[in-house]
Amino acid sequence: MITSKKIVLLGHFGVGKTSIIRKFVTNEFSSDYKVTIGVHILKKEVNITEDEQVSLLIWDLEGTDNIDLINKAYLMGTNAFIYVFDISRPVTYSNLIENITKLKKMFSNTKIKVVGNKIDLLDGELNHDNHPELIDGEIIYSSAKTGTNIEELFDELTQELIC
Amino acid sequence: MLETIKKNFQNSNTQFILFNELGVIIDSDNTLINATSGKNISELHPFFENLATSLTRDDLNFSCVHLSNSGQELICDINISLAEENTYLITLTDFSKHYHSFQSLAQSRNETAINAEVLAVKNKILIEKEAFKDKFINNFSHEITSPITSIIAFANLLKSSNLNSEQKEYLEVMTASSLHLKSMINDVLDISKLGIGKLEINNEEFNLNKLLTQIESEYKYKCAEKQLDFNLFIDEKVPTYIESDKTKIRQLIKNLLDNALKFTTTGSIKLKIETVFIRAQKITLAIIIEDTGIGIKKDDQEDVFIRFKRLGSSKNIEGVGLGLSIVKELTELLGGTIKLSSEYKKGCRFTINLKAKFPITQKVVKDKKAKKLFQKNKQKHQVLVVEDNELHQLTIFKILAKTNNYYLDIVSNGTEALEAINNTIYDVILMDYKMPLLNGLETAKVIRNLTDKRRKKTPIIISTGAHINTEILSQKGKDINDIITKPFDEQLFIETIENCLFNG
Repeated sequence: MITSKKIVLLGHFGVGKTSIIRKFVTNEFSSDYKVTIGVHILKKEVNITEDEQVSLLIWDLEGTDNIDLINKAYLMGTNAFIYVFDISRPVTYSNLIENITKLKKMFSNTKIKVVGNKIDLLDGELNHDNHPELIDGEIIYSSAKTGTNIEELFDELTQELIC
Repeated sequence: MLETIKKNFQNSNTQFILFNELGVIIDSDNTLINATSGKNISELHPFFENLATSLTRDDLNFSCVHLSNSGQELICDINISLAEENTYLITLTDFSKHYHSFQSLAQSRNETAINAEVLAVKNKILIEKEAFKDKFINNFSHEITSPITSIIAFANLLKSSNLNSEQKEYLEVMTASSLHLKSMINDVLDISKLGIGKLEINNEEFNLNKLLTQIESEYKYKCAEKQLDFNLFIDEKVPTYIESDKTKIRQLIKNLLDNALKFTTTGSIKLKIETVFIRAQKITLAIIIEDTGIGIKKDDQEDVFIRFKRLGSSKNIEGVGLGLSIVKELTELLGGTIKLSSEYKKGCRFTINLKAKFPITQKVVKDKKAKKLFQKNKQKHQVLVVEDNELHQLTIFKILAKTNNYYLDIVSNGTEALEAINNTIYDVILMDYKMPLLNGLETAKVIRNLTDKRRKKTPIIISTGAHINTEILSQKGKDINDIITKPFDEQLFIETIENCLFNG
């Protein structure tokens, strides 16, 4: 039996949303930045058990710092959000709490994962400069380039979605 | 005909698909994608999966949806509406060309923004690193200047005690080494401050003649120790008073004289001050330092002002190679120029041209008045020393005790100082900047806010390490009257106190 789950990736432009999806779906990475306009939808089927599969419909939205500007039709029927920021650009997480709070308010029953991407660029340890404070919930630090925590992110989310 | 053209145009860009509430395709014109009747819309593209479960009676509009299939790029605006009961209509409009051109614009806009952000972050990191370095040097200088102050002060006191010739000789070496260390630390501090643009110009009206005479007596002594002659020539057109940065001019001249002293073993060193230009209240002075030292080869002359650069001929001379680069940078900071002319093995001539202002009325010197007052006023003055370091307390005590002009009260912090002020009216307060609880400036602020008119106006001198921060500088002439740096120069120390006592 296959069930479908819609996952939407949000966040500022250039944070690596497309790269995360490509790494997960096709295990590819390119350091050339190509801007996403509108929405790309990719699909990956994941085996939960021998008999059970889940079809992840991953919506890669154009980057924006203001989630109010996103076409609401894009978000309709979403099962989970992945909010991505870039640990090397503070501007991409300067309004993180505000955006997460809005999302929670608009989609109270929808899962939200917060991802700090590009940890391969990190020189030294995480500190207050590259680590935003999140009031509740945790941040998953990832690298689409090296693949760090990409599989883990989607595995964890899939498990939570089918429970 | 027009109708046909219109129909063809619309047909080429737009596709209509009818489907039922279960997602099963009823009909399609297949203009853009193949949507065979009987198929489920979820099979067309992942975009349409789960769509049937989210339908309402309201129209749904999606812009810029990538429906690319089999390598063919297709970017559409999609409208889904209720056509009739249980039947929905999908309208796909192909805007691939339009979105392509928009993508190029967005690409360049985003890249510019990202580059600017990355640059801002790098810049911030650089500023933080500089600030850390600045803070480190500041703290380090404070820590290191305290023991040097004590070493130099006590070595000077020891000189006047009963020592045999061997002990005196050892003491000379100790003093010379300490002074050398002090000068190197000051050089490193200066270059660091110059590098980060922290060195500020503090123009004031001062007695140039007096400054030159002080320098003359210091270097006459130093030259005599090396059996060299020292001569000071002041052009008669040079005004007694000028307005410029006294401390920096003193440092410029001293650095050049120290350099001349290092490289001259026979002959003489000359300090000349000439007038290059004078008009109204503006003057350009030439400060010339000439020596009969080893000179500099022509090829090396361009390198003498480079930081840490030590020329072949100076490899055996002590120093860190900063003196002349500080001179050049300080001269430029003051808006002046420096020129070197030298003949190898004959000597050097450094010429600094500096612009300054001078008052039309060259007033009779305030400090003469002060000296007279001091002579007239035989009574001793009451000084409060606020200093947490016991060695500094002792140093200050010994320097002032030698003059026999002062009664001293010594306390260790700002709170004790306020208690002492409550009990006694002091003529001057000498206070360390870095103290536990209340620092020097905070204590000065409290004193200035006292209700008693005499107490609140007591002159306050702040003592600090060689690195005077801008917070202290900004308070000069406000909450504090003057600043004195450690290690204490005995003569300057007493002059500063006298100046506060008699000129306020």
